[in-house]
Amino acid sequence: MNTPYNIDTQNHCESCSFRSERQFCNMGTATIKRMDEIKFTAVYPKGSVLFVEGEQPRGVFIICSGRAKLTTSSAEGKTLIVKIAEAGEVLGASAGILGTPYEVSAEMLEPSQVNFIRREDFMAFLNSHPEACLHTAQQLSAKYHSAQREIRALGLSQSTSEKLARLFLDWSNRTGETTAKGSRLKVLLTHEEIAQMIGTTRETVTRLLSEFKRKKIIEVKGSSMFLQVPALEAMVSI
Amino acid sequence: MITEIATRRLTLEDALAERETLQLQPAGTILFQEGDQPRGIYVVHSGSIDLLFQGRTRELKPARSAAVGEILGLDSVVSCRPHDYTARVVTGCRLGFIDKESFTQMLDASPDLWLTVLRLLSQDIHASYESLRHAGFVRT
Repeated sequence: MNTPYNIDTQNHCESCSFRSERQFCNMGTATIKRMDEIKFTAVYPKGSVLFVEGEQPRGVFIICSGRAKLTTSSAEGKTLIVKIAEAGEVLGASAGILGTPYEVSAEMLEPSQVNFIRREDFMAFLNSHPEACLHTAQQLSAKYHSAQREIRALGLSQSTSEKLARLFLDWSNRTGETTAKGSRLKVLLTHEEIAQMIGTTRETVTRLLSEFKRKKIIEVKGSSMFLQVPALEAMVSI
Repeated sequence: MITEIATRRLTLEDALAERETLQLQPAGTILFQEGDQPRGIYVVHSGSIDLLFQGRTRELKPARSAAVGEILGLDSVVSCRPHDYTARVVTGCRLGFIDKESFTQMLDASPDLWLTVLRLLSQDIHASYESLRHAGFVRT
């Protein structure tokens, strides 16, 4: 059957084929049945904005498939990507729990299925299902660790080239595949988005990537990038 | 709402106070190191503690100081992840330590405390995003 954007839509959490692999959704039957009752399923195209920084929290969003970028903006209009959220992650939970405005904006990077739970329903769900609290706490903790990692990378780097080297090393540690040509990464972000991850401009990223290529620190083939990890490590001062 | 949060916070504090082991730690003590598996949580009753990041050359860099009343290690205990910073006592501290098992048992016995834990974790995230904005926008 044709589905929007060719997404294999999972309409029921209880029978979802990915449930056991997803940290948040891997809950007991009674808990997941209740979540099924209170969630709304939707499919979003690339570029859809789930929520905007400063907006009052309407509820939480569970990414069932696809990826989202979480961004924050400065008063001058600069944008910083604080995280690329993957399938299985819960977005907006901290604002929902505190009842304070969303701290970041969330925009889908590709066609995605997202489940939405209204804030009142989510809070009642947490109140009545301790298991959901544990899984939410693990999600919040993962977000905290991720933010700490980004703070370290941005705050401790002395130069923009060092920030870019740290970003590539971080990607290599998490998803790099070891090959004879170096650590291989699939890069699905634009130069603009890479710039927003390290708090610089698109022009600077394009210039640094050319410099890295010229020095044979990286090699780009299509959407794949091969990294020379020792050379990148040497660029990172601490 | 504010009253509700304050009441819940007190309840968590009371629950932790019932289970904590009081410790007096001298300056220089390392409570836990970055990368260590969490053994439990520490409630800071008095004194000063630095939270430090380890660089690639293993040199320690200060991130921030812990405030009195803060609970250290909560995120790591909840997620069973290694600590992502080192906690070092700067001036003599009075701490309450609750081991991981006691903390988990406490939440099992009083599930209503979970919401307070979730609020504390949410506050930590919001503080981290503020630091991230500072690192990302101010330094560039």
